[in-house]
Amino acid sequence: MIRVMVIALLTTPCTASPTDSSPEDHFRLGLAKFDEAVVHWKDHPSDRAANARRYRAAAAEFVAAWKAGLVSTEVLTNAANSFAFAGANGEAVLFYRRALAADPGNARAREGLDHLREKLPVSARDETAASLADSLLFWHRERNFHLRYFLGSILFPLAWVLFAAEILLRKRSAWNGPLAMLGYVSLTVSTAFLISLAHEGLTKSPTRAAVVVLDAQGRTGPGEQYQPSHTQHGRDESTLAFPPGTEVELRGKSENGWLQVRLLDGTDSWVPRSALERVAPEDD
Amino acid sequence: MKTLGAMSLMSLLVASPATAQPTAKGPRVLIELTSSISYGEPVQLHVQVVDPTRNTGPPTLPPVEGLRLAGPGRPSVSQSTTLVDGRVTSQRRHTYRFSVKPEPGRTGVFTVGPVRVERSGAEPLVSNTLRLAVHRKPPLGILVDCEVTPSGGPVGAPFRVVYTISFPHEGPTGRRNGGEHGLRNLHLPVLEYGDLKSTSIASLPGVSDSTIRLGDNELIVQRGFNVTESGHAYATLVFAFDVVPRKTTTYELGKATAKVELTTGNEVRRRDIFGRVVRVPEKRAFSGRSESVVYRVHDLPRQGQPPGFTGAVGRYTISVETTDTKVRAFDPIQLEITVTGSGILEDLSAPDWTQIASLTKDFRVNRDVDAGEIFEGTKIFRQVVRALRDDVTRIPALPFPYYDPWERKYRNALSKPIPIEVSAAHTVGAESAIGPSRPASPRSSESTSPTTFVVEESGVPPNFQHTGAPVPSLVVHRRLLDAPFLIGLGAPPLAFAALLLLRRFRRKDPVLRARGRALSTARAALTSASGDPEAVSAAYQGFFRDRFAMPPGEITPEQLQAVLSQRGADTELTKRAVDCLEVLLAGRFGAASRPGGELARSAVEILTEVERC
Repeated sequence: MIRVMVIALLTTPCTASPTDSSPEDHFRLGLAKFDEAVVHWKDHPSDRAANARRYRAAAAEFVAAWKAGLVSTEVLTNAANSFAFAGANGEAVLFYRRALAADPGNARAREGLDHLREKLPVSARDETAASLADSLLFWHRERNFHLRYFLGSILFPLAWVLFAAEILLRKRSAWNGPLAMLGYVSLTVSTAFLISLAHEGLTKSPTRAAVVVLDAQGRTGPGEQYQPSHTQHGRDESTLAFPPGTEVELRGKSENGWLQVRLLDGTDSWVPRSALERVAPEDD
Repeated sequence: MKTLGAMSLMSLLVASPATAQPTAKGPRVLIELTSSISYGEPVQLHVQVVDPTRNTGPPTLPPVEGLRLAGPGRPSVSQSTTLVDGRVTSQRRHTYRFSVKPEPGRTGVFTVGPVRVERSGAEPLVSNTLRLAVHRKPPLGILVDCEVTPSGGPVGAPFRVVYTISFPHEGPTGRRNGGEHGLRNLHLPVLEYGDLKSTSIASLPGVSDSTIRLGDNELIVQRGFNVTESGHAYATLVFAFDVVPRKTTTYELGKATAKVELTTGNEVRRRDIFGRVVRVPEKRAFSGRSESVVYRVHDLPRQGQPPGFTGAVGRYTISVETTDTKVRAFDPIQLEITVTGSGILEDLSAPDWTQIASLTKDFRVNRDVDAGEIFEGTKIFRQVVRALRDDVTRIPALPFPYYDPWERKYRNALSKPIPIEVSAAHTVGAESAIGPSRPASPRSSESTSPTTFVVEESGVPPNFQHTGAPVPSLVVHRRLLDAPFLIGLGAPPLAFAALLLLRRFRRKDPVLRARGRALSTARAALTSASGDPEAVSAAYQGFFRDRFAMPPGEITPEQLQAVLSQRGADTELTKRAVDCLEVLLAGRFGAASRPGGELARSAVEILTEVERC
């Protein structure tokens, strides 16, 4: 219950922060608090509780900046970093995922997420064969979403303009003129960008993604009366299978507040709604 | 001089093959059977006489009861020369062939040879002997067999499952016959149970093995040979597993299935890719299924279960280490307990140390259960104990109780005791209540910023120092469905398609096409007119007919004036165009006031201006 309250406070920091502060003020305050926390941690490495409090305070500022309307991948990444140092893996993974939702090309957020995933029991399945499109569009992860969106929306119309100019200026259907060649290049590049964006939108939409923020036991059905669906390897059944930070994809829901989820390893389970936080908030 | 020396060396090198000598071994005789197994059909015996001399006679083969021997025919002669490390050797061989055919109905193992080659004036050459096994040919088809030994046992006790697939000796031999070893639809039930830990093994001693993939499993398979009591000989593929059950239940391990494609010995007619009729061996698919075989797993016996037993089955050894050998009473002593053995390490739990009286007598045992970690074939558990008094001198030998399935009884592996020194306890202050902290990290240089320092220590990426460009929504891909974006993507190709359609339409409409080409046609005609007034006049009028869709026939100056006025041409251009027409018309009748070439240039200028306006 205490953790629920803590998370509620952290995810609604507007109420805890001065209402007259701008999002940028929260951001700057978050950076300052983070640096203070780092200094304190260096001086008092054993004072873990106080260190965690300081990092959480920094995270609260970044979250406040986000809630105040500064929805940027940088703000969300900083929030995730702060949660990670505070030892709050659930919130850290959640905000890394949000940062990647805002910009799938954010390398820092991906690095942080990969780092945290190594500590979690449910690992992603081998996607070598699962995603041929990922293999073909291997380069798209390295490009910023906004850059691809911008270039795609500029180069695609430009290609057709070049084609039109070619046939209008040359007065005949010359598809191998210099303008047409430029058009082909523009069309190829822009189509690749647009396909990669569409592929990402279809397969990695954050609307169905969620993260476990409270320890949860996955069940084979929607309720406590069902058998545990997973156990942590090498641990007895009293250990809850899904620690905070476990990433899931929402598949369905029951009337009694349980959600059917699919884990990164491709297995299915049911977990109570209260244990999850959506990557894209429902009001987004 | 140098050239001469080089030439001498060359001649030596070139001449050296001529000095090739026969091998030092001298004449000898070798024999070889084309197959060591026969199903009643003849096999050939090849006899090679190596480096024969002039006095060497033909080989003779002693008769063998039960075998019909025929031969030898004329020998085939071959010679080989080898050059190894500059040394040349040459060898001649006479190869004779005997036919060896079992008499009908005879089976068994026959000894063929030795072959004897007589030499006049020298000892005869004698070969070794060979064994030929003659078996009954089995019926066409395959047999699948499953053997489980023993038929039951306790949880965690290993047992063996062997699947044998038998088929006639000339059965499938390669991938081309369907899958690895010619197997298709291979189904081995032992792989279907998630709670059975199965390890593929090579069970036939002295038989080479290979591996094949079946689903996610890489299995060891051995090619064997089996003769049944009825004398039928089969080639076999053997899959063997050492299996450890993890729960008490009954497993159906039989009903294994396999399918292979075998040649029937007949031939069928087929057409090749060129349409020619060819005869190819007939192939048929055969399936086989083994009988039902059940393995029953029962619980471990309750009688004799030692204290602290947590279900370990197998054979184990235990060792305990600690670095905390000089402590105060009640100080934590971290024990590292290493268990090595033959059971399933993943399922191995630490014993319940709180039940070990020899330990609890002198130590307080932390009740935190460590799941342990597997490292290089061992499982390591960590346990914290605290000495209760300062007179404790050693950590006693710790037991690791387990059930030995081979001896069918419980046993205890024991570690060696560890001597320790325990001094009196000290008073615990508030600062000591803090739990064990992570070791302080070495400080980086002062110039390193705090953020960078953290990054290096934890693997978490550095913070961004700027807010970045805000996005309207976390679901950025929704922007792909924005109307302006979709219109921006859809409109250009549609407009382009419309342009193409318009051009095609224009190309098909003769009036529009003529209008578009009016000037270029007129220019070409005027250029080629070569000053001929008739041609210049025709080209000039042709432009106006094409450009303004005027009716065929000669254009009068009045008509031209009306058309140009109607199209909004300025008065001066209209007047010049009409004047030009009048001059051209007059020129046709020899009344031209200017030469034809000048008229043509003037006409081109006027037409170009008309086209522009």
